[in-house]
Amino acid sequence: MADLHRSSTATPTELHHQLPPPFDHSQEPFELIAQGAESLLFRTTFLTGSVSDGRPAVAAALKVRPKKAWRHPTLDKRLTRARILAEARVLVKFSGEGIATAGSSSGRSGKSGRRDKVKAPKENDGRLRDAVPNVLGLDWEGGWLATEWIEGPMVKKAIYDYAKMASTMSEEGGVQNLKGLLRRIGAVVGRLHAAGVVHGDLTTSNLMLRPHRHHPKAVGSRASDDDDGSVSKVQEAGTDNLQGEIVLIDFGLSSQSISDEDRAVDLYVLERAFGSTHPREEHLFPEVIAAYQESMNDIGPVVKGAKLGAGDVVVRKLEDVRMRGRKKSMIG
Amino acid sequence: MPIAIGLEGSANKLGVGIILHPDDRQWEADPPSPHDSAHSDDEASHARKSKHASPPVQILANLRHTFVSPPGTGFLPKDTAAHHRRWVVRLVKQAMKQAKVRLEDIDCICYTKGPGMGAPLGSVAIAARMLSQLWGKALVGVNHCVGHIEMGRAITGAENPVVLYVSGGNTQVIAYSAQRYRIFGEALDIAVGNCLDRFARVLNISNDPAPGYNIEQLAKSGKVLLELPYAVKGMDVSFSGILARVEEMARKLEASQSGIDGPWRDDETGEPITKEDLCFTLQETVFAMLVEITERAMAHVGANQVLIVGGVGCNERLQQMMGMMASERRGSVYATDERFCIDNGIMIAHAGLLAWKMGFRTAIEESTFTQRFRTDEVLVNWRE
Repeated sequence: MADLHRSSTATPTELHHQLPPPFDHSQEPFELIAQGAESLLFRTTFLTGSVSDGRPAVAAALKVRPKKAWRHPTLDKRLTRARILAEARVLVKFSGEGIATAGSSSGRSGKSGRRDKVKAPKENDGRLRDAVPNVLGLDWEGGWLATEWIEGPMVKKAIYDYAKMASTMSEEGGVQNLKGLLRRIGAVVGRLHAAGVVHGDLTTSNLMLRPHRHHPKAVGSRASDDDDGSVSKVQEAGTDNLQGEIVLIDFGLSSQSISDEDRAVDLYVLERAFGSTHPREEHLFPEVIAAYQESMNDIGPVVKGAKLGAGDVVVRKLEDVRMRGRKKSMIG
Repeated sequence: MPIAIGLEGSANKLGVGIILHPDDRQWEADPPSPHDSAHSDDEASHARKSKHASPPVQILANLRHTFVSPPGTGFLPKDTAAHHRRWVVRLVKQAMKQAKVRLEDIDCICYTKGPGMGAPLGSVAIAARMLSQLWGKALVGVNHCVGHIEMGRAITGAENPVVLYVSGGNTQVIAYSAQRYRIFGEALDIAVGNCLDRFARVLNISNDPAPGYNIEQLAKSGKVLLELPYAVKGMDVSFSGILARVEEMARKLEASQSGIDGPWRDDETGEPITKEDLCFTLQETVFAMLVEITERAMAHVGANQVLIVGGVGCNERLQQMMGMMASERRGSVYATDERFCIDNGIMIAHAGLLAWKMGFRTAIEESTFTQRFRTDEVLVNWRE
């Protein structure tokens, strides 16, 4: 590594100087996708490409958490470490959850016969599977986490696009599609909670909409050739843009919790973020809650001796949280 | 050229302000300044220097009288209300004199309808009603938070900023959308100012001029950063756990200083922990949380301006941290000084007059006050 020529990597944008080692002198392409609140997201390729055996380079998402100069260095280090680990822990937990992998992350791109035997997952069986990206690598000192690349738009953008279209023509089918999307969001959050994790930062920017593929389990690996066609088709098809499977990203604030309170706060955060981001679609948000409730009742932990399902309990708790939130505009 | 008088008394400050809005034509014809005039300025320079140098409003009077309670205590509603009743007439008279306006020049009487503490709000609402009856002028009930936001915008010239509203009773991250100030994030339990105030009480820090100000001064000589909980949930924050922990630390410090326990030393340097360190730790932690949720909201709505309002917004360390964050995002921070950050009458007059010009009136039967009044309940029809 040390003999790599230091200045060899050009930095097309100024933010690239924020790349931590080893990426600061990597030959891979780095495309800055987004500057989030606390991280820079690059699209790159990660180790997996190989000329010798003809494997194509696999797109990866590199999330870099640059140091925050405004934060006390001790606090900064503590938070960066905690968040990278929290995120990785959850992602790793779910990449193994319910689906047979070849035992290592590279198994994803390998020809594991075992995985091929796994049947397409049922809609609501409580497994997260492809609902989160896979971890490729991380370094909490350097402040980075690499995961597989998720194709498709943010849910926020999909709804914005929908809203733009819906304003020009009123279309009943469009509303149905949007409702369907909201229900899928609710269901996936239910699955997440049932698996013992709260996200901590649910917004429509942290939900991706991956276009449906023939083989939903062949994540970001070799499926890319038949992907391209379907992606563009989906994007042309107006409100069909709302089709696709929900992928949860940005688990930096997540925690392992099975408390109804935490779950309810998680929903509340989403509800409020949704209302403020998509005020015109806010009235449809109950779809998310309803689907969440169903999915949690279905697959969530059974509450002993109670007539209520796990989902009912959380939704009831959500009422409390809302009340508390509402009280907040107290003393000026 | 409409003129309004504003009365504020939602907490321990009684404020009376008189504002004049120049004719709409005049300043609407003014081409909107490139909202990024701020870009060219460095982070510390407020928009005052830019094209908005003279805000399109004239402040004719802005008076305030604060009820200060002894160290170790907070301000109680009953005493605060009594304070406001005692001072309101004097302050109104003085403001009228200073503004050199005649009664007939005044178009409306604006008062804080809420949110805030009930008793003090009540005494000011009564004063406003009295003036309305006495002078035969229309009443305009104003949301306190909207007052802060509008005043901040008018003074700094920030066009469409993400607003961090931080005070003794409120902690909100707000952005404008579709004629409402929408709350993106807020404190789920106590407000940040309340957390600071209550911490000050434990350490017997003076409430004069404000507990937060004194914590800020002490924090300047703090060095050690102790570990406090850090509670950010999405764009929301929580301070009660932090308060509980830092209060515990304050008691530990007291015990060590009074010799009951051994001296409390920093693990790394061996230096004894001081009151200043606690203030420093608390500020660094809670402000980092606030800057973080603000940045999150900015990223979320794609804004690069941020405006800080509310009493805690005077804190220069918070402004500095926010400025660093904003410049990292190639944006800018706008803040005002204590005249406008801390509760005042002028902001009520200003926001009230904006609503008045849109035809809003509060009938005497409806001139109530309320402790709970969400920022997003107000229809902001004076903005596009």
